[in-house]
Amino acid sequence: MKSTLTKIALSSALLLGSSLVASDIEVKITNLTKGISFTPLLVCAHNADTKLFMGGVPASANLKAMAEGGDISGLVSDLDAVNANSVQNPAAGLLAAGATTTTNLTTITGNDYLSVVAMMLPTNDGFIGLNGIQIPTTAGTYTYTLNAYDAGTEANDELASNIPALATGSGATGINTSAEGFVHIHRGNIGDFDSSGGVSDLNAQTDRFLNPVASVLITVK
Amino acid sequence: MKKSNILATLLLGTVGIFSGCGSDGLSTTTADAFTYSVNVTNLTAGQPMSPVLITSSSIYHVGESASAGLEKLAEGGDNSELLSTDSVSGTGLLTPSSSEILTINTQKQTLSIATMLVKTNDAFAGIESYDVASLKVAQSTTLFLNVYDAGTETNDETNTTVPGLGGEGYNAERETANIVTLHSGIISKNDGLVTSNLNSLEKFNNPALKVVITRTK
Repeated sequence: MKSTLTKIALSSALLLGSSLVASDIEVKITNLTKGISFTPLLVCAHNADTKLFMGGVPASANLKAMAEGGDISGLVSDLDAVNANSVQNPAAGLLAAGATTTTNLTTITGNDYLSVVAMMLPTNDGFIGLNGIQIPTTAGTYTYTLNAYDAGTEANDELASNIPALATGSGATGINTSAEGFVHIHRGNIGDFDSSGGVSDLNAQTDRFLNPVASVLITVK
Repeated sequence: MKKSNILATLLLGTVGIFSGCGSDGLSTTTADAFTYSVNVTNLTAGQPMSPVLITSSSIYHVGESASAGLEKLAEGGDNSELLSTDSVSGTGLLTPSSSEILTINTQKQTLSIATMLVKTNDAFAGIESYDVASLKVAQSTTLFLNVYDAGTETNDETNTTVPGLGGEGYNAERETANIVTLHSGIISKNDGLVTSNLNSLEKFNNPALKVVITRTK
């Protein structure tokens, strides 16, 4: 992952002289879930060779930081290195269940692929992912639905000590004990109905979700 | 449907008002009407669905409160309040694995669909204002619909509140959040909700309804 980004950085440095505006798009992101919040979103346009993550492949350290703790700064650095166009935190904080945020993204030539990621709360290392779709060039609106992914970097133990900002639930014994090791479609939270014990610090009703978890509406002007 | 249009037309004494209504031949502007044949299939294991509503009007928006008409559909399977001109209803329950073909005549090239999963508190499979303008006559498109939570009734999964279990249908009370979202799934008594009267057969995942839209006019 990292080496790929570095290589691309070198090659695109040669192209800096041709950094023309390629497109100006509006990106509208909706949290479709009933009870999950998204941490600060990262919306970016990048070249064809850049991927923030790949299913079945171990996550990069910076994807891990986003998925486990909501920290997008490392991914932003990776993207800056390949001259990507990024918007950070368009919702100015958490995007609540059912909420929508809209941002504009101006892309330079070559950055024809759009990615969107954010951690899902409460999860151990779950995140929403739109993974490098080709930005349409014909004017119009285009809708994409996003699935929940698991970064595979942290065990889904569902313990408050390993989930940022978990408001309720404590004293559980935990569910899984080992990380899966690769990015994959999230299998969902389990939870239980014992807020001071049981196997999980999550609630089996309010903290569950099914895919899809987000929608992205792109308007090409 | 047809009868109510005729009645309304007689009451208002004019046909011109119904320029958006080409379904029954009363309108004077039928020239640009479209007809779609819509084949719906229930993809769930054990969730009967209420009579499927297909309309050219808007039904819901994620993050916003459900209309009273949607609440009645999602809690009790009653789509009557959302039926108007440019809409059609299925003839009865759409049971798991079964299909039904509905025909809608409309002036608009958008279709919205909703049907309650009747063994839930307020879940419905739906799609909002899907644009079919690109469909030419005889062309088809296939959609797979997800399940939404109307956000109007707490998901307690009990005999007294789930109409498919003999419980109450529509109730005007609203749950606290009161917004439409994707549904998080039912839990069932087999998966840890000891007070639930639903079992694992009634669990569902997305998608829940297959829809094949064919433009015929």
